Amino acid sequence: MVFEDINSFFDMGGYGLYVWLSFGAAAISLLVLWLDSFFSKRTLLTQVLHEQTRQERIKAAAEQSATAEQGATAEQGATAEQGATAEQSATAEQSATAEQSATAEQSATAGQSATAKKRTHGETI
Amino acid sequence: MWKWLHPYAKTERTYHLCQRLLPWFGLLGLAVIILATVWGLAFAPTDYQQSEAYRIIYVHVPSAVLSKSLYSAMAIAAFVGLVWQVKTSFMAMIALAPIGATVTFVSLITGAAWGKPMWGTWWEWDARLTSQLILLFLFLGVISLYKAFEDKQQAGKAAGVMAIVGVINLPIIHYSVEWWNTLHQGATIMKLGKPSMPPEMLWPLLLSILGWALVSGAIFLLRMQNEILQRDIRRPWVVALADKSLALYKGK
Repeated sequence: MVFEDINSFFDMGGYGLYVWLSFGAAAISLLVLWLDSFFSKRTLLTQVLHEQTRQERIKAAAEQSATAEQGATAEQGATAEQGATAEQSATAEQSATAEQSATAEQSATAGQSATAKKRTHGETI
Repeated sequence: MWKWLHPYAKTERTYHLCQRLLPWFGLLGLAVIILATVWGLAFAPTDYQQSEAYRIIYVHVPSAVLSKSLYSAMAIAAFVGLVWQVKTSFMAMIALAPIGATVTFVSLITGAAWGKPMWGTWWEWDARLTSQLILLFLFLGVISLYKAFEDKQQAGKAAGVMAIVGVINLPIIHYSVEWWNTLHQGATIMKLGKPSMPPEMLWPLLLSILGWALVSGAIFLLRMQNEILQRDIRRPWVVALADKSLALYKGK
């Protein structure tokens, strides 16, 4: 070591302020950058799971509204064709198939069940 | 080489490669940087002209060298991304930019702290200092241009063009001390012939450059992983990985 004691080490021949300012600024800058990178990785990993549950929620909600609408169209068809008993039984069958397809396509994506809904709607009318 | 490089266009493989390399770069970099700093601060001989103030060189030169190297690396990544349409290349570009900005900032701060006792001023609008400041603005420009786009492929292209155009600044920085009259001293290591420095001073300097490079590498690997996670947030492998690592965090 070129310095005689710890005080002369901190004094740096009178240039202590500038030397320690430089090393301090460098250390703090690198540390901040490292911490930022490290913690944003952890935040991202939690975000991945949030995004996953959000996607599942969106899917579930879309399916729920699709089945609800299907039930409504089946009922509407039934009231319109109350007169004829033959037709009534036909609509009953149709709504049954509509329900069936709804349960079958619950696992499918929202877009697919939406097209299924349109199809059954056309059939009842 | 291309055959070997090709699988790393897949983000999952790149992520795991980063994970494997990270501890090596991190721990080795930390060890080397501490060794070099202690050596430079306490054991390197005193300068006959500048006495102890010259010790700022052990942070100023590594940060300045790294600022230019990181800019070159960023521009190369941008070029590869633009020419071969490699998605991971733009991720590398944007992972490098904040590191480059930080390192350039450090070189400016340490330069000011060195300039005050030696030249009598914190700042002077001369060629070397101004071109280095422009380098900082280029890094910041690339970052903000990338952030301005919602579509990240589009963002990569725009920021990539800016990064490539900014390469013109690198030779200006390097030769500014020769082309113009400047307060800044000329090159010490990076020149033809022998470096004008005794080995007892040179060794800790070279070591500190190596340490800074390794630490920058470690931060790059970490940020690269973050970019991949962000881009592939809905991919099954990312979800599985997040499940596993968060269970690990909670287990601690």
